[in-house]
Amino acid sequence: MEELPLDFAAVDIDSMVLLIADMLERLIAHNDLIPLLPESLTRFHSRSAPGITVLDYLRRIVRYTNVEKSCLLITLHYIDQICSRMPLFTLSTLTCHRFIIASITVSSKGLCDTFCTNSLYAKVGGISVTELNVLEREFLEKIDWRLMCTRDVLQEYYVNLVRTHSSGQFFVVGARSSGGSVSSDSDVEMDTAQSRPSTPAGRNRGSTILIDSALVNPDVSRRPTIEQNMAFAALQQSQDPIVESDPDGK
Amino acid sequence: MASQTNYIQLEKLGEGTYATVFKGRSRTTNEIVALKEINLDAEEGTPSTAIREISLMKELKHVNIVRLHDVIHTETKLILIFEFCEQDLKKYMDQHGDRCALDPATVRSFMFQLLKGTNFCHENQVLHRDLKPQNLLINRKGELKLGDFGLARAFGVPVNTFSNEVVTLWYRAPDVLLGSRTYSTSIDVWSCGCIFAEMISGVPLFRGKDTQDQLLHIMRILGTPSDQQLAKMVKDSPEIQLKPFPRCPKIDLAQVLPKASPAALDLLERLLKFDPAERISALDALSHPYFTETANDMPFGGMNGSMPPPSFNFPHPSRHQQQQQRPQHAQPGAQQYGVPPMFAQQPHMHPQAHMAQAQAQALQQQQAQQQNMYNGVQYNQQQYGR
Repeated sequence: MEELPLDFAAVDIDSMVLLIADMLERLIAHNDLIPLLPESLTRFHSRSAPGITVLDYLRRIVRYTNVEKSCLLITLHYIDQICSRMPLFTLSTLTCHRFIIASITVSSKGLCDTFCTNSLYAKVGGISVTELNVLEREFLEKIDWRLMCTRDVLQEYYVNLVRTHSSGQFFVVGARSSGGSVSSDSDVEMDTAQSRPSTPAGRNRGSTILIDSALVNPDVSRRPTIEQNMAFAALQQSQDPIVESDPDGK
Repeated sequence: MASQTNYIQLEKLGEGTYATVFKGRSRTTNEIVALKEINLDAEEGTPSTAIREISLMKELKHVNIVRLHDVIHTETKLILIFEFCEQDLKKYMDQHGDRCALDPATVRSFMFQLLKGTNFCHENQVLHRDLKPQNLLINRKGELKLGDFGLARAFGVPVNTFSNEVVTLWYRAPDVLLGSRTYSTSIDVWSCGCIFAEMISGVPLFRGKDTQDQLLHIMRILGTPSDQQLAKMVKDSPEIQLKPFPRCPKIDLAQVLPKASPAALDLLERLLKFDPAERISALDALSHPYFTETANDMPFGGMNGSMPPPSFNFPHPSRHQQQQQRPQHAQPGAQQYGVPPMFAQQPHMHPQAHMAQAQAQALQQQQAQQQNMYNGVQYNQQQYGR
């Protein structure tokens, strides 16, 4: 078992990449079962599956760009946002890489004071800069330029990532590191997270920044969101006695 | 998404480093708009300034923030469609001020609106980072609106890198000049203070040539902070680099701004604290006595006769006072404290006995001008000058 900080901002970027890649792999495995229809082809689709795993792709981006943890994590939020705006879009083996590099490019330029050039993001992402520019435009249009997010939403994605990680080897600890009792906040955090059925973005947190699920096309629910996939994974884990996901690691 | 053909492009209003602004008219609503045209670089795609400006302004809907109506994104260019404002505060001061200095009622109205807009940004976890008269737009109703969010950024999501190169030099806070990268909302508050002083006197308060000179200009008025004060700032922001500074005594702000009322000076003092931790918040500034007091010392009479009426409509003095007497509690997004412009009330306005005849005439003129505008007749900016 490996313990991670309670606050996502304190986690090291390599663990963050592991968590995100694991979740995306599960999501992709799930979505690859959905037959691809001609009308669901998007600019994010590759002709064939790129020969690099999501984990290695993310590691490559971390290694060659100065990407921030928030920008990695916010990709999950953007997946939820875009899936709810484009009901036919799914993150799959064919769309994942292009989606990730477009998302990292846009979030770094939109949220950070230091970021790389599009030529560099293109090179690191393995596509031409012309193509990246097209993807960037497509991404911004599809997400309706709504790039803002809150710390709470990101924190919730993080807690869910840790909780549902397929190996069950991670857990977050609040009070443990200071020794003593395990009456940590993390238990509370996880319990509340588990009891929530909808995606973080779907709930009204009193913020004008978050989109309201009521505004979103109602038939999007037929596509699994990340949150639903996470819940599905959690369910599988809880049914599987070998992978014990007790957050306290007892 | 709108298509380009929805808008008729009219005359050019200005040209910036990365954008050209045109006046435009909507074919569907006839509404006059500002079209900000950005050419896209084949290499770098969508400029980060545009990504920020659009993504932030989509979320910031407030009467004191320029409204972004629409975005047109093509392969070669990006056009942002904003609500139209006649002038920026800089030009307004040049044309309407007495040697650029504005009358106390106008200063108070603009200052209130500036703080309203700034507070709204801060409530929504956005730093503007480039407040200056050129980026504050004034419309014909006398409404002031924050514009140009190209340097702005959200601070809700933790991101490690904060640029130190923010805010135009003259409006840049001393902590940023000293190298702070952990600044927050207080940097916008400092800019508000500088703008406040500039509206009162007609000239920028601190006019440095470079970073070091700018700090000297500040210290020559506010006085050099004590070693203890500086040490505290370094403790709060360890990235700050201190250089030796000459010991300057503090000058009474009343000497620098002889025209300012005591309440105005008190507010200014709180906005321009050298240590960011001591600076008043935009929210608290809004309930400062300068705005809330009934103010016998506020020479509101300036509107009635002694001066020709301004070409723009200002909030009516008596109405303005009524508004200000209410408690100024935090009301996110509430606009009832925002100074209600007369123009907006026109359709059901009763003739007010105390309204100066000149003002009524000015209103009529403006109505006539608006008609012209909406009929697509060339709109003469000169009419707004005095």
